[in-house]
Amino acid sequence: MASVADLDTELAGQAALLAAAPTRLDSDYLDEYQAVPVGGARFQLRCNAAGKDSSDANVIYQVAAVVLVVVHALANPVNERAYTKGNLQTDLALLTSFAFWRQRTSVHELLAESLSFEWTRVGNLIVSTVEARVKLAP
Amino acid sequence: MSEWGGILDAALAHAVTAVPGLTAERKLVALERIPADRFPHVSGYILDTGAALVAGGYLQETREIAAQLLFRFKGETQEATYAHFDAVRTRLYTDRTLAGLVRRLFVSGATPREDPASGVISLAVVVLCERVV
Repeated sequence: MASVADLDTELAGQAALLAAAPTRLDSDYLDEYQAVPVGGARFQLRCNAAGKDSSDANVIYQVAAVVLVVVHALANPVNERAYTKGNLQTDLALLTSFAFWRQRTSVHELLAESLSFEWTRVGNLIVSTVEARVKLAP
Repeated sequence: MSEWGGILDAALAHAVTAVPGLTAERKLVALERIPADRFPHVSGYILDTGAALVAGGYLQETREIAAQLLFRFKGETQEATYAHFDAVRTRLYTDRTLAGLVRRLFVSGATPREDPASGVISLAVVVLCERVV
């Protein structure tokens, strides 16, 4: 049975699939320890247990909530669309696809209705957040 | 080049475009005698190298940088110097980010000073830039 820790490890290992292959910041919660280099990206990942799913009579699944924050530092602050219409969309398309989640060995299924994403600009940074809930592999 | 050198170069380039015949120098020329053939003249230098720091997320800093453009005109009326100032400000406001060097800029007002002996009118203009790094 996959655990929340397994999910965290597996998802963190997939960061190379994202644009600029972001590395993980030391803190998944605070934004005051490390900078993001110009043109580069970093990510924060928070996975936690979020109840059980018993919709299948044969198996009770552990549900996990995932919050992935990708921080991209614009190479050119006056041309944010080079990123927001480019690599950001590629990343979102990946992270919101069923295929991405189904290919994770620690994931049984993405709870599609739980998927949400938002992004905002802070200074020269584009901060995008993807939230999802998944059933862990039994 | 320093972080601010590019800002000075860009601001001076706009000034030269706005004022016909302007001679530009990127250094403090406050007390030097300016040869007659170098009027109208502007010297650009950094007045304040970022005293204001505002912390942002992920260690971003917002710095306020003040560049000063010190214009000197000879044989021109005060009205003409005002027109030059208007032209410089208008020109700078067509490029408020200095092609991405700064987040935004503002141009101060300018108080002219006239030296009755030489007929030179000086005009100090502060270009206040906000830069996120």
